[in-house]
Amino acid sequence: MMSWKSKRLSRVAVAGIAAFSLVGLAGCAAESTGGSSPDEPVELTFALWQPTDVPFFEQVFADFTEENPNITVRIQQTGFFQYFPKLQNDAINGTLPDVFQLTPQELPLYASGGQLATIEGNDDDSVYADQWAWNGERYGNAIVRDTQIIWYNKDLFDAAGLEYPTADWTWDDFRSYASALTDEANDVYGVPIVLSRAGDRSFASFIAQAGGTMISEDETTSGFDLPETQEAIEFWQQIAADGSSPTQAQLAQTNPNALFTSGKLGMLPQRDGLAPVLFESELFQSGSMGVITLPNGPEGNMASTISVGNVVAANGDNVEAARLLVEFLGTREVADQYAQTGAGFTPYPESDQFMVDFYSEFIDLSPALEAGENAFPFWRSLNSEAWFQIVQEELTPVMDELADVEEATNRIAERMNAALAEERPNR
Amino acid sequence: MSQLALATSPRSVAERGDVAPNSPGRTHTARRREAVTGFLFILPLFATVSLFMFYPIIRNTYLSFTETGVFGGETWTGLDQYIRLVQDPQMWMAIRNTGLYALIGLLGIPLALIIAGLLNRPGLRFKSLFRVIYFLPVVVMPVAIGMIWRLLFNDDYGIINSILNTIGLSSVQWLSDPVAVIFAIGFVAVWSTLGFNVVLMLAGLQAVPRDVIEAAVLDGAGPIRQFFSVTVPIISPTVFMVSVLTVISSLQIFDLVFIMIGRNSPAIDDSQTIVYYFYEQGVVLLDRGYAAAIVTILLILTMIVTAIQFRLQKRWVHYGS
Repeated sequence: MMSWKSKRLSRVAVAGIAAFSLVGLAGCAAESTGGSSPDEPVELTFALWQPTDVPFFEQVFADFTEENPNITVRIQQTGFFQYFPKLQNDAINGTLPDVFQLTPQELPLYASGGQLATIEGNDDDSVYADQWAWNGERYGNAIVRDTQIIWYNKDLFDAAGLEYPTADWTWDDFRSYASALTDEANDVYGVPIVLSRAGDRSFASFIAQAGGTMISEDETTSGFDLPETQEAIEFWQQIAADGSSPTQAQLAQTNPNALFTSGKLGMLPQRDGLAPVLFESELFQSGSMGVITLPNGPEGNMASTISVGNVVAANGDNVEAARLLVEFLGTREVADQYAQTGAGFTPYPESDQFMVDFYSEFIDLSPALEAGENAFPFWRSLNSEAWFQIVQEELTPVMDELADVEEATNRIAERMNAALAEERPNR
Repeated sequence: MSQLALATSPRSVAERGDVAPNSPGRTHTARRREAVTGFLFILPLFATVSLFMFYPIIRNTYLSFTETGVFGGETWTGLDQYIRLVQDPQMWMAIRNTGLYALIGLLGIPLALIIAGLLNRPGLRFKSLFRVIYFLPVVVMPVAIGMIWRLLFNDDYGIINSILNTIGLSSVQWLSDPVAVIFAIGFVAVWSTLGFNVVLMLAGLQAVPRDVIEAAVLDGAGPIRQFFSVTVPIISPTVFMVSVLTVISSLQIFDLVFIMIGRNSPAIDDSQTIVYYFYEQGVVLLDRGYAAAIVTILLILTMIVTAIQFRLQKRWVHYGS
């Protein structure tokens, strides 16, 4: 007597699970047309991932609305790890924010997919101009410039009886510092080996310093099978072998930034624009943090740089107003304001001093200015994320179980070349 | 949920028992009019179910036979995605892990039954308080649960390992050891659904006729014998329902893996589920055709497992007298 009922219920349950697992897959890009005239009031949406930037943009958008009374801007902030998957879905559904932030690593995917409107560049002679263009068209203006530097914990250096690093330090110094700072009994390590985003926060700059590259200049061939590239990765494997880094499992469970601010890491290779994030920690406010340019490798101390910029969605309803906003955000005045509030470094080197002054009470950020001089744009291709993933997958055993570097990097090169070949028809 | 609770009570089902609609002597048109009225009643449900369930299933199945573009658009590739799936060791691992979570989930059912039995004892003090405590995890957001347990299980700084160390045991790499990670996630999954199962079981227990228990007492059965030989068989339809729901929800575990492990962990291959792998392929790596094939497999697996459960129930589920 009961069974028909429970059968029906489970049928509902079976259908339910199907619905839960499948919903969200459907949907197609919808073409929307036209744009409204700037004479009518419009509301633009602006998407970003950096929470510490929100107050700054609120202020800037208020200024922008004062200049353009018909345009108001609404901010959408999403955490970094969800930001790009969300954008992707928005693009497929035709609901991209009018203006949103990207890095040059994602730009080609969106530009080649017809998702971005062209804009007026603000700095055609800068190194960033090239990064914000694709196939000769300009799509975005950088607003943030981030360069790799080493943040270090002065307290741990003092405790280990070490001198603070100076700009002329070398790879060997770096490695021996990392080892000397490590105190495994107290879970203190010298430096974390972070493999996400193709090691941008660990070995990536070292590849350039060794004379290697991740990808050929025409962005079609992997550089992981070059001996120079392998040399840099071997150097980092030695750091892992010394026991100077937490394991990959440990790093996955506790954010390296959090390990650093809680005094568990002696050195943290990170972007110089991390200041507002680290500012929230006691370690920073007690003046116990320092920064220094990357150690010098065989070919110099090049540091990778990633910019964050603003782009306009091609299919939005208010493309003209959105362009106006992006061009406004690319001006020197806004850059100055950004640096003056301590939010980060900008593509205008002239505004750097504001950043240094803002934090001077707690830390001397001036080494970041030197790092900016030796900066090279981080590598990319049309679909950078595809091979970022491969690099992380293959290098995890290299850094954890000390698997063979040459084998792993040759495999990266092979898989990466296959991924790059898939990109070609869309270039 | 109230609907489920109702369904698990034998008495309420008896009251609603089948009513024969076709009495002889009705005219053909009257029957037809009745049928039309019936269809009109189910139309709203049918329309929404079609829109939100049938259409996505069909669309998804179609996508699983295609290669999708990054920003939409697809080309027909036949069975390519499925051939790729069969050769993908990560998919096999995901199926294995998902199966293990389902098994661990089933282990939680006797636990829920025992807790429900204890809560149902006459004269138990603070009954409501206990029920609230057991039910609380059900109303907490899965993401919050994942974040809390991720901290508790943390290899280096977690409370669980420091307790183990205090009592002289060595730490377990809960979130990175290939074996421990399955238990950690399986445990949290059981913990977070236990309260829901307990409530279903309690509803079943409260419908057990008192006279049957009294008869058992007269026959000399002790409390434990009463429970396992009389009560459990009577509520076996409820236990069956709970086991079907538990398996289905175990097959869908995603948030715990997403929050507690995450894609940067080397343990991800050892712990990821089918749904997580779907997310990784479809949302992170933008390979939606492949992702569609993954969930199509999940749908088929779910149906097979549920069908097996219905087969097996004949051996141990007793439906009323």
